[in-house]
Amino acid sequence: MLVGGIALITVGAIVLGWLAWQFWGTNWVSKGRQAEVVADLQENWSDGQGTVETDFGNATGILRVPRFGSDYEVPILEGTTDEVLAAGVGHDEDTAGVGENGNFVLAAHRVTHGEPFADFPDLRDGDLVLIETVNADYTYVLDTGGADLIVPFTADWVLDPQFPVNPDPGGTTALGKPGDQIITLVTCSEIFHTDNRSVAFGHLVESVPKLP
Amino acid sequence: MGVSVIKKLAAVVTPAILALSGVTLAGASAQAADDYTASVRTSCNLTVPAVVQVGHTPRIRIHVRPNAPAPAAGIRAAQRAADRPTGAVTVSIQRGGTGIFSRTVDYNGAPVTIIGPVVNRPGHYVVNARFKTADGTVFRSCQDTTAFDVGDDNSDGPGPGPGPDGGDDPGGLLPDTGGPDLRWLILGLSLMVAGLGLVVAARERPRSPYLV
Repeated sequence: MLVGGIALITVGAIVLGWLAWQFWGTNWVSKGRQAEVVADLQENWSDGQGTVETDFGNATGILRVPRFGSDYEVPILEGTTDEVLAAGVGHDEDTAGVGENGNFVLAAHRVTHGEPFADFPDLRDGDLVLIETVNADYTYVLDTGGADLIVPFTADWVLDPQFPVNPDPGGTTALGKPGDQIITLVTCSEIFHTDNRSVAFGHLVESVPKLP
Repeated sequence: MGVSVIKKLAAVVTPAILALSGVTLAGASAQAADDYTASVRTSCNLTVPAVVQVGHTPRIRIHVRPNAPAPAAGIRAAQRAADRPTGAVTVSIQRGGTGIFSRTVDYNGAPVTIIGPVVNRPGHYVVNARFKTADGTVFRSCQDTTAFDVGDDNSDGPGPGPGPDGGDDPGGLLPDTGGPDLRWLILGLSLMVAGLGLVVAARERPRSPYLV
């Protein structure tokens, strides 16, 4: 019985240790990756390269959200694979690009893997979302807050490349009209695993090309 | 005689000097004009997924933008269109230094998406896009290079996938941005409690009277 008890404690400790790694260890690793990718981007931009190939995906921009802190900056990579989301914010490549007409969709972890969107529920309408690329600086303004809309992960309307329209009449949706330059931010709605996602919408208010 | 010779020389040399000066001035003027000829640098932004599954086709998006200030608000649409780089974009894909795909399409100022070939061999593929400006425009040419990997790992993709952290069901649409399942925490704590219970019970169990 004593041996069985010790065995159970050992297995339980391993499970809890793995959880601790997920919540803290992956953050430590991913934040290092994020800083590395941001540095790579800035270095390559100075050489005129717009896209930077990294070990985790192809990086194209840097995201800054003043609401998340003045020193907050996370790289934007193409795709939403596990590797991409472990190194920064993922851009759904089936949606519009930054600054383009249509729906520009970004997704990131709320917990674990650097948790770029840890403070997502704190977002408010009117908050700025700043994106820097090799060509320009883009400024989006949120039209909805981070806690205004929670949808199941099957709500594909959020990823509409043209314009996301909530099929639920009266539900929170993007403001504007098709053809506008929309930004959509997506993350998990709870700290532990959930099938629901928190979503915030915004629109482009300024794009300032960089001079050579 | 001396005066006459000098006059003759002056008559010959002066027009020559003036002619040379004129040529020089004209050349200088032309050179000055060249220095200030309107020529706008452009930036190519090439976007491909970081990972493409075997048997699928990569979606390659190219956006060419001028590195110049945006047109003033209120400018006519036709004039805005004239401010966009136009020409042709050539996209090529290489694997192991060998070209496997090349395609040239017209570029009219808006981002273009090219569907690449079906990739059946896992590996690292390098993509290059070269923009050649149309004749008579002020824009310069540009190029960008990036890469993608081809793999047969079905755990990655635009949607969430099942995993050890209790990921979503396969077939979901919004990215998997969540943390571990709460059940792992419950399991770990339960194992610890059960193990401690067994250890305590083992220690409190009455010893055999034969050992007294």
